[in-house]
Amino acid sequence: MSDTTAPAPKLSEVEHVKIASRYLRGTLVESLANRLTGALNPDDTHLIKFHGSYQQTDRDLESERKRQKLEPLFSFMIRVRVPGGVASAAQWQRMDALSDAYGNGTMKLTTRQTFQLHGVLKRNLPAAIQGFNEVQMDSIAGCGDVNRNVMCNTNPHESAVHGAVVGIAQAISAHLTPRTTAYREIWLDGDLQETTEAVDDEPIYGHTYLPRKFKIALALPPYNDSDIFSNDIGLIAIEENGALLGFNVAVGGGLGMTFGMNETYPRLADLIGFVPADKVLDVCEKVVTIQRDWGNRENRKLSRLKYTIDRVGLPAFVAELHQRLGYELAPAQPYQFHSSSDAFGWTGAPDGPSHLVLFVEGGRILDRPGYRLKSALREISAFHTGEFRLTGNQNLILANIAPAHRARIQAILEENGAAPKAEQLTALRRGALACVALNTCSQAFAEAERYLPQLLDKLDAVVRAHGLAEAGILIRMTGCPNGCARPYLGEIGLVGKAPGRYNLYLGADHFGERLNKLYREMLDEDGILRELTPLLAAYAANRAPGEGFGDFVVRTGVVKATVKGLDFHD
Amino acid sequence: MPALPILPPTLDEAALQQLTAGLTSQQLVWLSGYLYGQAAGAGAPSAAAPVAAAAAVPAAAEAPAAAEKLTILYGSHTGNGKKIAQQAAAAAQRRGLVAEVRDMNDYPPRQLAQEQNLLVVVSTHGEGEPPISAEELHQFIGGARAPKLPKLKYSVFALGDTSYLHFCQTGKDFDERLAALGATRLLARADADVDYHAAADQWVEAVLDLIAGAPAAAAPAAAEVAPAAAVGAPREAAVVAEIAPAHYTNANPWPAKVLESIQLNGRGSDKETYHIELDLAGANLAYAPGDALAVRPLNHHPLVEEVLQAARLSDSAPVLLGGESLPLAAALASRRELTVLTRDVLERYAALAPHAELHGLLADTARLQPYLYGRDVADLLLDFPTDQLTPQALADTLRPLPTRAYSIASSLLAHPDEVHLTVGAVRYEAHGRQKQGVCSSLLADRVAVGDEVRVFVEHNEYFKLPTNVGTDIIMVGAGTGIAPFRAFVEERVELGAPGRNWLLFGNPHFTTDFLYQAEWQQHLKRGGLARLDVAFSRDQAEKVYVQDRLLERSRDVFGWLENGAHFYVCGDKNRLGHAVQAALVQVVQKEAGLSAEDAAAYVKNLRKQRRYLEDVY
Repeated sequence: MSDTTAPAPKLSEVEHVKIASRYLRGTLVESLANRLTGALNPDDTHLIKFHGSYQQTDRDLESERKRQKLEPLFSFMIRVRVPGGVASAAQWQRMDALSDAYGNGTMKLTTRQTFQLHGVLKRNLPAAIQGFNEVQMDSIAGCGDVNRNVMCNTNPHESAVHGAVVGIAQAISAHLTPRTTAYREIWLDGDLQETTEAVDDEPIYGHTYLPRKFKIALALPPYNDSDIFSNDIGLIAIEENGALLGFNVAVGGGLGMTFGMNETYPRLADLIGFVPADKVLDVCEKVVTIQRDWGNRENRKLSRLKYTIDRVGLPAFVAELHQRLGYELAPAQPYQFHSSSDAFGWTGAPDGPSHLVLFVEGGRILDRPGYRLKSALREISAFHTGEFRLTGNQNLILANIAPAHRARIQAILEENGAAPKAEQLTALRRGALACVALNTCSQAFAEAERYLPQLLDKLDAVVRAHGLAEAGILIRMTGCPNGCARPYLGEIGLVGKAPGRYNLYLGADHFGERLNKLYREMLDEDGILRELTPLLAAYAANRAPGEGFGDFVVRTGVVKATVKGLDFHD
Repeated sequence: MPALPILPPTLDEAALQQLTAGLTSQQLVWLSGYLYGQAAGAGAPSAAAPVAAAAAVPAAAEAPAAAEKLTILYGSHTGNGKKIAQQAAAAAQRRGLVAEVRDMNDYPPRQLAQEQNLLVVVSTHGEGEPPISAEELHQFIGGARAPKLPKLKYSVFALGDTSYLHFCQTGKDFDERLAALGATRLLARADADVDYHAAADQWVEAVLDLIAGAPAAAAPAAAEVAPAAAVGAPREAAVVAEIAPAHYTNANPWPAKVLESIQLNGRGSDKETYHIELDLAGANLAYAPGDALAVRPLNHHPLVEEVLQAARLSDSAPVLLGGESLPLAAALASRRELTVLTRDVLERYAALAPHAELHGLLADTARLQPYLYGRDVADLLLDFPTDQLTPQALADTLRPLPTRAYSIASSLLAHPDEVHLTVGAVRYEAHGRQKQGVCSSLLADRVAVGDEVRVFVEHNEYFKLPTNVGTDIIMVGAGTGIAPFRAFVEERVELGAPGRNWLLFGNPHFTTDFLYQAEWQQHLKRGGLARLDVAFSRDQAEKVYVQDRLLERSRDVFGWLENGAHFYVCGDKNRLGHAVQAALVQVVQKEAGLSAEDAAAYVKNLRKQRRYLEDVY
């Protein structure tokens, strides 16, 4: 095993938990067996993240249950990995059934192409995990201080190279998956190994894993729907004559920050070179080990790779990488992104397989009166022979639809009110992202997924009034500054600071290559509309041809462009 | 209060001299009137009745063995029997009798043969069964070894509940067996319903009149005489009724302000359980963990309306209740039982409404119980309408509205001047109409914070914490059966009791029905609970109940019992009480390696020792 961190005087609490955890076991088994609480032992709440789950409470019921002399309504979010975002119909069916049996009856398609089940009670965790394990899905490393779900562009029809890129995404995911058998023992076998040291070996991570979460995404230009620059490692596929040559490598992206702590900031990844396809696994592994060894383990707010790189300087980081690789990266190759959003609707040849990119508001698969998306997809999953592809924008692609199924799928969606006509939705709404936030996320200061559609009702009126219904302005809302819905890459970024109050960020570009900047603080809904309305009006009146809203506000001096993460707060 | 001596049945000059020695003239005048009254006492069997005197008798030697003895035996589960026995003893004392109050549980059956005057107060449980404490004596007098009792004079006060088929059965058994053994019945047996107070007062007075004649007249005079008694040699004191700080009763309840009302079940629960906090400030009302709080209910107005409509009677028609005239609607609302239908009501109603079907029901027990179940007075009136029903007849047919008792859920030490209840709201649909519990719905829906409810304490003699604070306790409760255990644990925490507390609790769902969950978690953390086991029956495919947890933990349960632990059960009698007892027998069988029979005997012995205590309903 490689050297791990030099002795640190003040390791963070979570580091101590990891050290004592015997490769992520902790006291999870005891926690699960405790019938007196729906919660885990406090230390285990850190460890279960590595198993793909967060302990949460229903914050809507917090004061009510306290008065009722009941503990908070604890439940668990389980994040099920879908490397590359490709799920089979059988996997979709299983997740659909599990969400009804153990979850809150809905599924969330996340901005990292995973399925999230919400509201799973502690006693149902093993059954839920066993349920998706049976269809070859897992949640290990869904969260925690390890490499998370590896994202990949999902447009299967775009390029023959796509299949190769997805394959590499899956290979990276497998290579960086923790090797501990704890996951299997706790959730699947129920059979704990006594001598863990002998059984477990984490050749890449070591027994304390990474200092913080780690994210990798792959993109196939011209699409950047995986927002690769927001990742610790972003890989841009470079193809030549229909063959995959390799990847441009970008390092040090990450969007989370903490209010009031200017030493924390969102940062986009720096392009450091090109690697041939057969070496990409090696590069990923070595970047991970540098972060393992150099990352800050004392203050988790400063642990991400982006801070490691800004601390040592990019040249020093690249030099270390070259040394660990034993070779140097080639210069980055030219590439161009045209879009970071999804193109909705049908594509494909009339007599060959076709694809349907389906708008899913907030990524939430559910039924509600007049909109029975969940039922429709369940029905489709019974016969659809292609895949269910999860996009990085919380949408869904029914891919490789057999010609014979095309009309039937369209009919089912329409019958269930689940195929809104593009013209009914503004481009603003179609590209909107929101994190889960209240009522289950413990980090949230404000609403996001539950509120954004209402705000959009009002903003839609504004954009329609100014003839901007088809202007693809990226709007993203989160309930806290941690960045799950990538708000700092939104042309309009709204980050919750208090109930009903948001900071407004403006000036990101349309392709995920420039961060936005704080424009106004603590706006309520009226404030948001008051600030945005004149800007949208000016944009409608004065934009240059093809100019995005984010570029417009920068050009007209509404906000300064954020060139790099360290300038974000300037 | 010093004991008053008993005089021999015959008096001579010397005795009279002694009697009057040292009395003032005023006292002598009073005494003459008193003695006259005694002699004229109606129906007093002159030969047998001991004559009481209020004056001093120097020594027991001079009033020898001839003194008649009164023994008051009680056997009851809740302590009501003991209360009546003590009431009778106090009344006997006022008549100059020395009465000995004995718990059947501790009474050697063979001693019956030595008794002269015996009062029996006994309750009936379940299907006509005696309370545990009366079991041995009940069996003895019914068995072959029972002695003939030709010298014994007795009367029985039977406690029961008319809503049960075998109403007062144990009292009847005692009454009949004692007669069969040759004893003389002093007074016909009194069979008392749930609200027994008036019947008890009446029986005590009547039977003591027969034994001792009328009581001493004015209390102040008696008090004046009393000091003279102290001259004599001290005697064994008779049992004296305890003096409560303040005595609230059904007739004189405390109007308690509602301080708090909280629905304890989380959203989505099928259950509806309320935590009610009542104000006792200024009441000087004492209770101990294990006691119950009786609440005087009021019928829900819509039900009163339904009954009036079904009876086709006017709400304002005047009726006479206990000498008081009030409108029928008011009488029905506050004074008559409407939600529960019982056999006795059907019997009285059948006399008014001669429906063949109704008479058929009354004649057929197998059909009667199913009919009564889930039906109320409105159902009866609708099923068997009659033109014969007058407002007064309706009022007379129905039972008085009894109070509803709830196990107290708080400790006064933890919550001074407060009493807390855990009330399950009873609501269901039956026979085409929506029904609700008269008192639970009052507490759940019809009183708000700041309103008053009328309450008094019903002491439960036996369902009490061990007197030794070092004794461990195991508490098994389901649903609202958690209530007394909240009081127990609070009390033991306040007392710093070193004995360990182990709670086993069951309800349908963990998420919504874990009553007082946050409090138990705190108790566990701070040592107020040594152990906590829970069974949520409907959270998994197979139903799991508290009795299953007992079996899972059999080694520890038995270990605690062997270590002297007291074992408490509170909750539904049929669903919990029986199952827990059966489980405990299994526990003992397994852990002690006993036969089923011996294990059952072990558990029965726990009951006998009052270490296995139930508050089941």
